[in-house]
Amino acid sequence: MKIIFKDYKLLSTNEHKRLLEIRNLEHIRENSLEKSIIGLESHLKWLFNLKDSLYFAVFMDDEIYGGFSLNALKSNSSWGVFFRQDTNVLLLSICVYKFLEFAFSKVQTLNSIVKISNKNSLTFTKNFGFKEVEKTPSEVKFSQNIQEWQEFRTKKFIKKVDDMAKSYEIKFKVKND
Amino acid sequence: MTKKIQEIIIACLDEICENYETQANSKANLDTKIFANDGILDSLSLVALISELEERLENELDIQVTLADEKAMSAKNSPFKDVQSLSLYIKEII
Repeated sequence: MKIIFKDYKLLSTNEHKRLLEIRNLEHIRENSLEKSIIGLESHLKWLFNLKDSLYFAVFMDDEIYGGFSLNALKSNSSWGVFFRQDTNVLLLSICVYKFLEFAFSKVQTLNSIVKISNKNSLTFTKNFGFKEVEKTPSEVKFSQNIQEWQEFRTKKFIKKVDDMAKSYEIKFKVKND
Repeated sequence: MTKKIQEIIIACLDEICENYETQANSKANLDTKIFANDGILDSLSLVALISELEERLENELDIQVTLADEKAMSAKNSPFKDVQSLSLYIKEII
């Protein structure tokens, strides 16, 4: 199986539509910081003005399953993720691991903000080595730096994820501006 | 054999719950939901469980299995629902 992380800026109109269908699913909007339904026109306008950030749609054998964001590459970088509920959990862990590996090749520290109501994402973020740095009644901010990530990657279960990832063809397709 | 497999699964689950972030509130037992609906593990701690289980099954029962199987992970009737379904699945594939 091929897993492709394709830069939003390389997507066709039809692929943008398919991506938005996933992004606008109720379970994803519920857990997003921006809850509203995003239309194609406003999405393309936002993408046209996007700077200092990378967004990827994740294709598994030509089908889109979700997306990743890597914001503010220059400072105070953050990441985000959304996936369809029918995504194979094994592949989900592999995708997050490979994305974080990619992200830490670009930035020194990564932050993420997770809603307190999103319990699965809270445990998932912590299990990927992120530490809680701030908390409000509704959100938790997590952070991890590159040294912590390198140490985290040596853990036995992460090596298992790394081994499993080797049986897939995984590529990042990034638009060169 | 089934009982021994179940004991190993429960021991692995307790170990994972001690070392990872999970939704578990108490020690694991035969009825513990592992993954998906009301399951105590997220997808990454499930990988940790699989890794631990494969190792213990080999060390304690001399059984070599690959539980991180793509089909099992995507199956509608996933064997990772609870302890009983997982023990049945392991018994089937050994």
